[in-house]
Amino acid sequence: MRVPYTWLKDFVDLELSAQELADVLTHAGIEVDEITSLQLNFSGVVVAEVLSVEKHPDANKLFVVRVNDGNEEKTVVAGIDNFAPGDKVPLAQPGAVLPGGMKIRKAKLRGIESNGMLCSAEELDLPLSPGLDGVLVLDAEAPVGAPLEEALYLNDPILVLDLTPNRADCLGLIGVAYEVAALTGKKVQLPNNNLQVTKAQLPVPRIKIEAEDLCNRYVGLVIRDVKTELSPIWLQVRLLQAGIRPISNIVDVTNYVMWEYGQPLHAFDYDTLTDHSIIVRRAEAGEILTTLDNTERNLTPEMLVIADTKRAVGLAGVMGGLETEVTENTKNVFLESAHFAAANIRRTGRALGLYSEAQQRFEKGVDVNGCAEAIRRAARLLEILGVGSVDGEVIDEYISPRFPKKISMRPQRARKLLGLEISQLEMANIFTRQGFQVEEGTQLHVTVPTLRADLQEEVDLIEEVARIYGYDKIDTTLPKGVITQGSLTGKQRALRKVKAVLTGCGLTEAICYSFVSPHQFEKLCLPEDSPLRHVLKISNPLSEEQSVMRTMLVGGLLDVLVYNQNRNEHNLKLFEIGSVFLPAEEPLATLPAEPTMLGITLMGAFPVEHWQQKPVPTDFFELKGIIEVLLERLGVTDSVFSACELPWCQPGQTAALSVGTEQVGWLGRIHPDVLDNYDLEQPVFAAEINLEQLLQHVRLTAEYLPLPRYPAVLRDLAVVVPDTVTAKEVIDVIYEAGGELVEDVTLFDLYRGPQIPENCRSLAFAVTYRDLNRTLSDDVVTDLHQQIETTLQERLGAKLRS
Amino acid sequence: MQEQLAEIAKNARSEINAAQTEEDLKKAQVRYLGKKGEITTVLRGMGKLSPEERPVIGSLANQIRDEITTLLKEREENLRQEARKRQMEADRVDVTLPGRPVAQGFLHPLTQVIEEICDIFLGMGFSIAEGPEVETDYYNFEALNLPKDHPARDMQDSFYFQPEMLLRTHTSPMQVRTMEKVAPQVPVRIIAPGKVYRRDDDATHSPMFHQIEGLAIDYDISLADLKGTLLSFARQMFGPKQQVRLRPSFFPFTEPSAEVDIACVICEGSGCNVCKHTGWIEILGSGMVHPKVLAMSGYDPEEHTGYAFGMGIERIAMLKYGVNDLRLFFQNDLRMLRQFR
Repeated sequence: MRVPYTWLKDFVDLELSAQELADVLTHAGIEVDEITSLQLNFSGVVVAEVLSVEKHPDANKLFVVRVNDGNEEKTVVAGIDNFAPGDKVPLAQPGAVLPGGMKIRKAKLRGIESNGMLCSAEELDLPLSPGLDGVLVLDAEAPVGAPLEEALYLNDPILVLDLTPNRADCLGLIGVAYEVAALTGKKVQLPNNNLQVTKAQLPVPRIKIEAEDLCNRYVGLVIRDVKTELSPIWLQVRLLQAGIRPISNIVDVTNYVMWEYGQPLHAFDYDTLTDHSIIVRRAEAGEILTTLDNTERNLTPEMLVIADTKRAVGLAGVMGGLETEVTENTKNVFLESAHFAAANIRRTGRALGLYSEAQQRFEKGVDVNGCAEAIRRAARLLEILGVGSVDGEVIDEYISPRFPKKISMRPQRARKLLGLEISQLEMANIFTRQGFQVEEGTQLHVTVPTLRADLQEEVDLIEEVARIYGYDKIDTTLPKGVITQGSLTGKQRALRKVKAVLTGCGLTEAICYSFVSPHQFEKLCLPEDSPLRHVLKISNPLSEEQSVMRTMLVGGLLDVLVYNQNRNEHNLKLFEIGSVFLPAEEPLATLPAEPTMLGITLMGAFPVEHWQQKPVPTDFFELKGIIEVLLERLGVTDSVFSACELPWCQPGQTAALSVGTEQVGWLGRIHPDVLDNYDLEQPVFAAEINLEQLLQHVRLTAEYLPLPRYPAVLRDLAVVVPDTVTAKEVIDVIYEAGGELVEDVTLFDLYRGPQIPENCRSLAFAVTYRDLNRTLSDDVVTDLHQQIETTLQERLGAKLRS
Repeated sequence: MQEQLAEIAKNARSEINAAQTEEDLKKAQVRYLGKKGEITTVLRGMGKLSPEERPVIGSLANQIRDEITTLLKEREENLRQEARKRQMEADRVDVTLPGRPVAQGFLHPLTQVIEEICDIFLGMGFSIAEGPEVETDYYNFEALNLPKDHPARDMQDSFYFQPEMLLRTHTSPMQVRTMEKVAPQVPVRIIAPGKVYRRDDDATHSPMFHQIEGLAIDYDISLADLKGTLLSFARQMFGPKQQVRLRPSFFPFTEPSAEVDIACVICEGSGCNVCKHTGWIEILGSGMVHPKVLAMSGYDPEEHTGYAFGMGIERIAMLKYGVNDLRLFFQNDLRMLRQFR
């Protein structure tokens, strides 16, 4: 809402500067976004009075004009004579600069010296009418000699309000004036809109509200014998300050009054209304209306229209119809000031993609009790401006009148809720200053005008007390009462640990959007029937790229790798922790599952380039090592990695991670086809783990085991096994055959080569033996070691290497 | 014999002094002090001496043996010192050469800010609540006093899946879920961080961003308590001299409502471009929980009152780190991420 400072002064005394006023309003919750003014692109132009106009003796198309510029009389040569002695006109004096940078100098035109230039609105770059068709003739009151910008209030400050949706009352200057009055202790002055009662000369309009649920009040008034012409300059300037383009006097007045009262008005050409009738009804299916913007609108029965007996003539509250528009040929005008249901206006506007000033006001709520006063104000202005005469009386159809609301407020409740010591009298004064009636008892009974629809109950009044009294005067205290203990849940602590471990392993955290492109699944080579393709689709996405909710994290992380690769960052270890969204069957009866997932991607070579060591390309086992560290640090003991295949991973380098009997994730090398789809240039290793599941197996509190009192014995063991036998199988057999005395088995070498048969490999282990209760004898260890060797030969076909 | 001993002593001194290795010293030790060493030999020949001479020569021989032993020890120590010196000389490095880097990962700056804020409120007795990102219309709007067609729904254009299901537009649904779970018990002190979503995408808006919600319910919670809590938070987050300023505002789920400003962290209140020369910057929205919201979630507003607040994490992070474009947080450019140590 744009509030021109001088216009606001019509309604309330202002002793504050525009900036001071802005501060006061902002502190009261009416946020002033900026203070601006109309843009001026000229200087050195003053108001001059025309004294005489004569034809140039030596030029057909030129005129010699004598003017008074306030200091002296001057001669100016002009190219047009659309003015007469006594008119006030803008004079660009020598030295003036006009838009575009043109400098005005004294000049001789066909022998006569011209001391400046008379300007049109266009030449001054002012969007006033008329524009080019002649010198801009100013209002008679314009003070001679004054700079044009001052005379026309062109540099008047304009406060731009950023209103919260509850303060629709401030969408009119008078509403703002009430607010200012309450904050500064001044009184609001309202215009006198009394109309003389006249007898109708024209047929009295017949107004009928059929859709009573959508239109609670319809006020109409006929103005006869109108002359449609341009509005006076002062009125045009005020509309420009409000941000509205001036059109012609009648339309301008409806807009002017809307800006003052917040009540949208509409003017019909009265003689175009069939049977001089107005019917407020729902549109019929298939009904068509050509609106003011010359667009055919297909109406639906949800839309409210203004109609005559034959057809729709306007979209209620949204836009008028072209056929009943006020034109220069209009003789009589029918003014409408009505109240329409906000939600319906809102839906109609959305459906048609329209968003007019009128519509905005109806949507946010207009005071139903302001309709009649606004129409009287408009009629009064039209009379003052000599546009036409009121014909007959204001006709008022009001279905269910609304009355000011009486709300009770307990002073003690206000003090308690605000934590503020404030007297009852002071609270009462706050309401009185806003123009509310107050009855005092043990409670305050406040009668709130319907303009302030935001005040509905006690707590709203309590806010008014705080707001007007000043939030800055409220104390700072801390909540009293029972002390509470702030703590993290087990899951929250575990998640923090996961992040600490991963960053400790050199991984950096990424945060990706939760919505992804539906094409991600093709890029990841997911088969058509993959359950991961069962996504939640956003019905109104910003773009296709962000139109479905992710079901896995790895797609987003691959995008991050590409983004960085393209910025010459080739070595990345990333992780993300976030939700994926797994909907049940459609239509969705319940919210989707949102498990928290951990995604990891590795790409490039590590550690970073250094003079002592060369980076090594990352691989499956670096990734697995990170996951093993994570599992160990979380106290997860019964985890198993087993070979598996996944569509987006390279066969033979993919594993499933299980804990207990539950599969909780996967890890693997990203399939070369997927890398191609993403334009990734290096191998990528990725993992995804369901933390919801994993964290159920977590033991965050460590359990201390007593340090061993007897020494361990270390023996090496090297076996050759076929490739079909996994390392895990060998290790499992060692533990099993060795029994309790085997403390640890470490694989320290893996060898293929000339001495080893084809499709076989040699695995070398360091086996640690320890008895917790005595020193192990060599014989016992030797026996056990042999027993292990024998079992490996028997069970797995392993051959010993010496 | 005395002369013989003096000669031995003289030879031993020069040989020990000339020794360059431990081996040389071993040899000298064997030659002079060994079982067949020269001193031993002299001592063996003592039987031939007169009883008067015997103690004199014996004492002299012992004296010389002790001297040689000491000399050997000293020389050995010297040699060790010299060898160590040589080794250290050989070990000399250019200390300005770069050290071997230890792999480091970094938490996302938004995570760092979330954890910092959470820790501040944990210290004030708040616990951390959680809730789903896909929400029902009821929790996101209706239970927060935002009925259908409420104009305030415009303030947060939403992503929908179907008419009653959407991506949460704020963290406030977690208020409602918490209250429903614990009502009518008090005290309630929770904060709830999380991702939220709105249909906006430009330099100052991201379709996904983060908020932290705060909620306290008790018998006598007041607006002054809200102000005090936020002042305490601002001072811990932005420095001990921080000030907070509350300005009236409007949120359907709080009444009274307030926007909260802190002294500009860039200019410390003297006025700059970031604070539009006001000296203040807005960091969050807040208010006293609306009685309707309390009642809908199972509290009696006559008995219990509460405050709530919600702040944008990205905004806090931008202020704290001087990041000027919101979108940087979601590009995951490593050159950016690794700056947040």
